[in-house]
Amino acid sequence: MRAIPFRGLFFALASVCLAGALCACAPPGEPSGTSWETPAPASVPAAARPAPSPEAFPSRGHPRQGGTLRIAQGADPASCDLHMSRGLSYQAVHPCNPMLSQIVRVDARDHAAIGPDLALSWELAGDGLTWTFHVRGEALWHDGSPVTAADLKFSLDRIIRPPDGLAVGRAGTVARYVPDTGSVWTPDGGTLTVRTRTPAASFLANLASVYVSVYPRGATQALDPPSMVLFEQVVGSGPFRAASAVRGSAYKMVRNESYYEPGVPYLDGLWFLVMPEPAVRLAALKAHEVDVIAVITETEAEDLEAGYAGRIRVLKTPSAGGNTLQMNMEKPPFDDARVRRAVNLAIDRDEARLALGGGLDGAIMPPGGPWALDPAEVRALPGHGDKGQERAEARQLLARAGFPDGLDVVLSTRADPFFETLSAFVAGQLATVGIRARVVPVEAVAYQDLLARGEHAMIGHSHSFALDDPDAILPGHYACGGAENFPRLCEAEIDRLIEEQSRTLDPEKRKSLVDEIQRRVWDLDAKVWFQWSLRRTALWENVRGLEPGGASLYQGRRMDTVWLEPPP
Amino acid sequence: MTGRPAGRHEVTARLARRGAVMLITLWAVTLLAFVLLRVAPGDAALGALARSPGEGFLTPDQIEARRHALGLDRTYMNQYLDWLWGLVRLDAGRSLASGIPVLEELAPRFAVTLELAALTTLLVAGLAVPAGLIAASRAGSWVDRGVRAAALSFLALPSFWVGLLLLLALASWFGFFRAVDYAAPSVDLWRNLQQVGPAALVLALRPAGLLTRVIRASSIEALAADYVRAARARGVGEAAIVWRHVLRTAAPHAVTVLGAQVVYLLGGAIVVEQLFSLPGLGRAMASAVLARDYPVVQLLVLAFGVVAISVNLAVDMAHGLLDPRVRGADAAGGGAR
Repeated sequence: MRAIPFRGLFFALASVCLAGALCACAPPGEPSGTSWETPAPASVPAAARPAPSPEAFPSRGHPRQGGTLRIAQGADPASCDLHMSRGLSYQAVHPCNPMLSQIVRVDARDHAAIGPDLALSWELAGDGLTWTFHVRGEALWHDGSPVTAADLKFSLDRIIRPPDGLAVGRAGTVARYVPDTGSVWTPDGGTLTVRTRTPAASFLANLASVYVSVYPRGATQALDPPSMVLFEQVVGSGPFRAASAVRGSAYKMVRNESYYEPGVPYLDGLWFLVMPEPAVRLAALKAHEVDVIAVITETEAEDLEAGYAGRIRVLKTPSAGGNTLQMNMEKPPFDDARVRRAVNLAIDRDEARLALGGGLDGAIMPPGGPWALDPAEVRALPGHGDKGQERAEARQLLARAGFPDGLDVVLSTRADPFFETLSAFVAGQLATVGIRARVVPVEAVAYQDLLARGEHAMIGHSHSFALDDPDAILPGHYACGGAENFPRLCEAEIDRLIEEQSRTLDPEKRKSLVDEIQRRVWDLDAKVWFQWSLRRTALWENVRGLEPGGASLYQGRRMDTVWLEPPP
Repeated sequence: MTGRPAGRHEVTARLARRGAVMLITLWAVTLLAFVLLRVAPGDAALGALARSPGEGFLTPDQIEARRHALGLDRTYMNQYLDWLWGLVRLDAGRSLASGIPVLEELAPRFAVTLELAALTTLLVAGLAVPAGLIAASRAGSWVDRGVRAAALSFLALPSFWVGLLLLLALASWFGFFRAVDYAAPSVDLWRNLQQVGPAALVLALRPAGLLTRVIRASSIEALAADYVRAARARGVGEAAIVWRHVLRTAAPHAVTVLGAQVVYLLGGAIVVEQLFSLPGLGRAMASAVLARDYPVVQLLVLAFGVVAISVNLAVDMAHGLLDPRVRGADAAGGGAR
């Protein structure tokens, strides 16, 4: 057999390979629209200046205008209507928040502080119920029309009474205070008045939540349904406005030149890039094709700290959330308090921190926050003692409950690597006292359905709170019928205490009531918090002003005081 | 002359039979997709309201109101017939998740997947044809062994794994990474190729491996045939032999394999689009299935079915054009493929 022309075919083959390689190996480019310009110092309000940078990354100057910040996230924003139930995830909040404003706002650098936003000032009447907000006159919607008190009322009204076919999300906490839309009125175009049902200690804090953003009445009602679901539909009054959206790929914003706060935002552009694969997000960060990943794992953090020290920062902050093991109190064997206590005692908190990436120990309110139970008291709670003794006690409890040889249980969890990992850890812990837990990952929608129907027995589940506030956490998690009350616990006394603390204006008395709720809930062993997480944010060293000011992943993400330091 | 009208009639009848089979197959595909989605666990009304358990203060009344608004409380038969009737009117309904008309939501994604599939097919043909011919011409040599080993590796390696390694290697070792914001070819062709190119390359490896083996085997057979020896004896050049005889013999097999791989590409696109952050139909399918977005999934399954059936038809027709024996069988009333 003779050879056929080899050289021509070889070059054809080589050309194809080269074309593929060229496609893959183009050098990274600069983000578009990068320019540097120092604004007049007088135009930068003191309140808008970012917190000092950590010593390892000393800032080389003052905030500067210019540049485009690129943030990678795993999914598209499901909805920019943050009032409603589909706009709850941080992947919706982070890209949508910079286009929006609130009546009052959580301070990005200190989540415990509440400052003016569309309302420049406010007062509470002597009855302790009537709040009056004075709307700033210079705020404009992105379409150029003025923001009025009617827009603020419209926004609160749709939270109190959502449009047909929509369900209110975390903003619903505000609706608990205000009985009906008649309790919200506008004496004039620049004043909004709200009367709460009872004295409400957390009304202002919950009003300042990102989930109570303000939407324009006219532009919203023009939509069918009347909801700014799509990124590109958003007409807000925030520091950035929508420039373009390619679903599944990129959401881009540009500076809102008519933003009412002087001197900000600093950035010319803000991009959210959708990269579903965590490894791909990390690769993009390493190649400096993105500047920030809001949430990374401990393993990824270690990788970056080892290989990119001095170039990429990993900020580790306590998170208002963590990992739990929850038992359905309506389902045997978890209707037996002895079995639930045995489960709680079986889990070693130190091992949890080792296995699941650090974190903190706490009761049912985020540790380190203003409502946390005293650490000394936490250490005395069941589950935090000597593990050898506690596990021996757990076996005795199981024997007394009729399970001397242990028991077999199904541990359901969402089919997702993170949930499956924490559930696998829990299963290992339970095995130490003879509880043989079979981890069953359930696909997300089916998992949701399982919990809604109350057909689960035990779940491994992670929570992340939007606000470290008793009213934002306790009713949903621990009151009868609460949306995230997956153990289905229902105790009249706990419900009463939850209501009472909400109405108690004296901070010390309220704290003692919240502490009492924590003790009572903990004593039920139904939702076992075994690890309060750390949140890890990865960002390039030139990104300034993004240091988190609190434990919530959701608040303070308007990005108006974030700036990019130019190369030295 | 008398035979021609009868032949045309027969061709028409065969095409009509083929068309009827296509329609029945597509109908079966839609029915299967509809039924499988409905029997899968999970509440679509709940999924349309919240993405995670506990999101929102959802009461059973609100969930029922949403179910009613979405028409999910009607009988399955009504839902299915309404959907079919909508298709006839070119109205595929609205996405349960976003509320956008499904056709409007998927149209830009269709262009992305079409481009990915076209580029992949070009890469497959561009890699496999020369490689298969080179291996055949050097059968038994180190070149042949190398090509066979490479082809087998391409077949064995999962595209997800290869793609991930490619991305990580480029980013970690060379600092190169361009799978960020997608640019349509009409906006920025170079950037578009930088993003779609690597994805197409990864997607092309498996079918290229398969096609290389097929072309190699067919070419070896052809090179040993009497008519090739006779051509060489007549002094016909090697290039002409390859072009006129070897390629022509291998082409029908290659086209059959390539056609089958187009269907594989649609499945592979789900994985590769996810990995390379391409906003195509594959990713739309993955997220719609997870969200129980019935109208989106149903239309995508139908679209994939149309593509699969059309490609099969095109392959059969191409086979007839490329292989005189098939044409002869068709003319004789055969062609029972």
